[in-house]
Amino acid sequence: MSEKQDSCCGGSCHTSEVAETATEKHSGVTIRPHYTSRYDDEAWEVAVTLPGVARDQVNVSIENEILEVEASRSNPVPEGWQALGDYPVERRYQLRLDVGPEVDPERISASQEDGVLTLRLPLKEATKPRTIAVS
Amino acid sequence: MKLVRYPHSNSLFSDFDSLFADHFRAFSPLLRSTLRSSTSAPYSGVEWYENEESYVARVELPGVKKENLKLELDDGLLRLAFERRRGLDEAGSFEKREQVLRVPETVNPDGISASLENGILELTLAKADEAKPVRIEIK
Repeated sequence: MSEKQDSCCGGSCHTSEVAETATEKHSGVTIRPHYTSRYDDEAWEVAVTLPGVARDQVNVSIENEILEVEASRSNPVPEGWQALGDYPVERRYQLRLDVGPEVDPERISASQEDGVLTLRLPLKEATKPRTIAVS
Repeated sequence: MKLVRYPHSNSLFSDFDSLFADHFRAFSPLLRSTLRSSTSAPYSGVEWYENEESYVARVELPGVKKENLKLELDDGLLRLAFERRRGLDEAGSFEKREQVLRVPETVNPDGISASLENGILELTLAKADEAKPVRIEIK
């Protein structure tokens, strides 16, 4: 599959798809990042798109079955440069997911690579499917 | 392994998304036996900057590795062809994508450099000499 998208120098070529809520124009925006999820019998996996975010700028927490991903990306305009569009200086990413009672919060793990945060949320033993032997 | 993809659930009107509500809490054993997935098209944003010497384009390419990205300039169009892993699929399934940037006519075609870090491609495009401002000394 191949997709084409034209962008042009000069600024208005930007953000038609992203779920973005401007909070302070020019200085910062809060973005709900895109994510992909799937599960099997062992765990849920969630991949969150966080382009430009360094590993130490990500915080993942869980409380009352709500998983929260918070991250920020500083995007300053270098001195002597001129931005050719209206770009936020800081992007804050926030994603809240209701993971339900089936996830074991003690065993959640996370890794980050190439601007994508991957979370693994193992299910509690009691919620895993069991095979019943027929005697 | 069968994958069932769902429309993305990023609603601006709810406080949080429910990973499980629709298709886990009310699960049936049949559903549990099928790997399920929700996904959305990743966003590829571009920002342009300029100084006296060059233009800089910052392009969001999350999930793309350097070895899976090719850049080609042709007739004022910079073609970004890349592959990245499709969602969380571990079976080695890659999606091919292409993004085309129209570069200013005043760019020196031999003066383009690129770096890729944390899913951001930064392109530096040197301006042709005739496009640079000329300072005139006052005698």
